Amino acid sequence: MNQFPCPGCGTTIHVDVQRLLAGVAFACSGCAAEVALAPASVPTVHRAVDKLDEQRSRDGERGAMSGMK
Amino acid sequence: MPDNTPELVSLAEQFTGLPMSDLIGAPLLAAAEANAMMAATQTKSLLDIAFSYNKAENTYTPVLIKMTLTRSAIVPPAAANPPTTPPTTPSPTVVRFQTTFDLPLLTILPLNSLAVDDVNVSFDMEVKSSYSDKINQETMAAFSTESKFDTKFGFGLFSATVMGSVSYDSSNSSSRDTYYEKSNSAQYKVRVHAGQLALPQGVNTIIQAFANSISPITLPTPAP
Repeated sequence: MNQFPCPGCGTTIHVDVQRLLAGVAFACSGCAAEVALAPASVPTVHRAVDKLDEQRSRDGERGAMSGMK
Repeated sequence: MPDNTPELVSLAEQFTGLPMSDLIGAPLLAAAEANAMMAATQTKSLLDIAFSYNKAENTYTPVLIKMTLTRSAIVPPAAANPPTTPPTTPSPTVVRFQTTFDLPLLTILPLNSLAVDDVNVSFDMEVKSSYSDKINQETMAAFSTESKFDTKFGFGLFSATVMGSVSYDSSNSSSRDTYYEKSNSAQYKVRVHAGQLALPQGVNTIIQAFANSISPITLPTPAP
């Protein structure tokens, strides 16, 4: 889980990127404001998450190969 | 009598001269280098994913995404026009409005922080030498030589004959077993474990700085 301060009251809001991409809104516990990912930014976040997953799988393969040495 | 038995292996000599600094230090250095390589790879991917590079200025600018913020606001009532008699106080209304704000992509990405967190070095060495000398000697003595004799003697009318035989056997056997063994063995194990660690403090500071500079929201202007 990642976090950032609520723009309204400054309370920390914890978010999950996969659920943001699924359209889930996260509520601030301080002022009940809801934050969600704007539709225009969904492709940007999707690309970033795919690149991260690709890097994780490459690290996993590299680790498995070095373990086989 | 000179001692011709072979000398046992000197254990002190076998253990001195071992490159202990290499045996212990080399795996730790290798783990530190692996951590440095992983950190460099992750930093590069972080810059590629969450920042855009300006070649002309040689600077990195964070990628910003749009987030929607939905909250309620109390809108003060507008004054009655024309004023009523008697004057009435209209109730404020609660309006749910949505606005957008910019957020750095870095703040919501689940960043990788893979590193070696445990190195276990195990070195076992065994030196063995043994010597045994078994001597088995048997001596059997038996009389086997045979000789016969007879003696006849007489005196006057009396005569006597003495006969006899003597035999002597002798045999010797001996065997000797000598056993000498010398061996040494060593076992060297290095176990390394890597896993997701907490983000470095520097990255957390940058994320916090970006998150704190979220652009302010704009409230809707109340109706006249």
